[in-house]
Amino acid sequence: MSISWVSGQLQNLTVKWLHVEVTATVNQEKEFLSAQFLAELVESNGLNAYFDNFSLTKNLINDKTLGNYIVYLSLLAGTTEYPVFGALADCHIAAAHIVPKADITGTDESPMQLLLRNVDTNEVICTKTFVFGNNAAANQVTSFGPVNDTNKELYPGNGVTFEQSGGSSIPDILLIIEWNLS
Amino acid sequence: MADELYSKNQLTNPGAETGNLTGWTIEGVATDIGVASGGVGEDSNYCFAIDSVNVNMSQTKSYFTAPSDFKIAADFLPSTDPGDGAYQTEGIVKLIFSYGDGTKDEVIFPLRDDSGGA
Repeated sequence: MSISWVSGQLQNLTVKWLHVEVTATVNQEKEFLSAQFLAELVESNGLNAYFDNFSLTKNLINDKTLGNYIVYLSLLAGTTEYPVFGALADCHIAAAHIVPKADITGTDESPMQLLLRNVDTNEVICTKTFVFGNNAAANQVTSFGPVNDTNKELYPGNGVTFEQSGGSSIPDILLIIEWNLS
Repeated sequence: MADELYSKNQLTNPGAETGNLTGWTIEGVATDIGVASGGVGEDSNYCFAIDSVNVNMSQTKSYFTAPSDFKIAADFLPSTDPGDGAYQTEGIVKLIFSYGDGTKDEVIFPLRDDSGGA
């Protein structure tokens, strides 16, 4: 815990504020669901008190070592983009897979592509194309095509999107992205 | 060092820079909380103002994986009676962790000035 005085303003007057920084540990023996950040007064005496610069940052070490990321998405027909991943450390995408809730059946007349795109380079990392005879079965893992070597590298703050291009509407999809630390 | 890697700030509108309470859930007497001019930092034009114990402001964030810990920070300006300082305001910042078994951990950090100012 760290406490210090910092210089600030209030209604054009220069005043000293208290700055507090603390660390709160999560119980790793339980299934963690959420964190609620809350601020309030416990004594006011009819006076105002002031807060500024709230900050809540999470330790990323567990995200780094987990090595995969799973999101549950519902895609709409047409071209739809979803931001699904922001890089937490230097890493590269190793593979991407989907698990649809219902069969996906492609047709030659209306081919559909699912794309995993590197947002920062705006280039495709890997693609799955559905045409006649190239389907994805319900509740089974279907892998994307090979990962593009050029676009697979991600750095802190970089992100990828999951996009549908063409074809008819598709069912809810579980998207699984695998990455390796660089 | 890997254990020094923390995320960006998870909070929306953490310094009232929208000029309002956007992003915050207000519980209690909503008129007892607002935004005032001022704050800490060159780019800070606003701060949050609370004038009673009948209201709180919060944001809840859900996560896929359990972080080992969170860091929280806040700037606090207590108001004191200009006479003898007997009527000091006291604030708290609280972090509440919710777990799958229905239990919660509450970590409470008091914010008050016992020094008479700096």
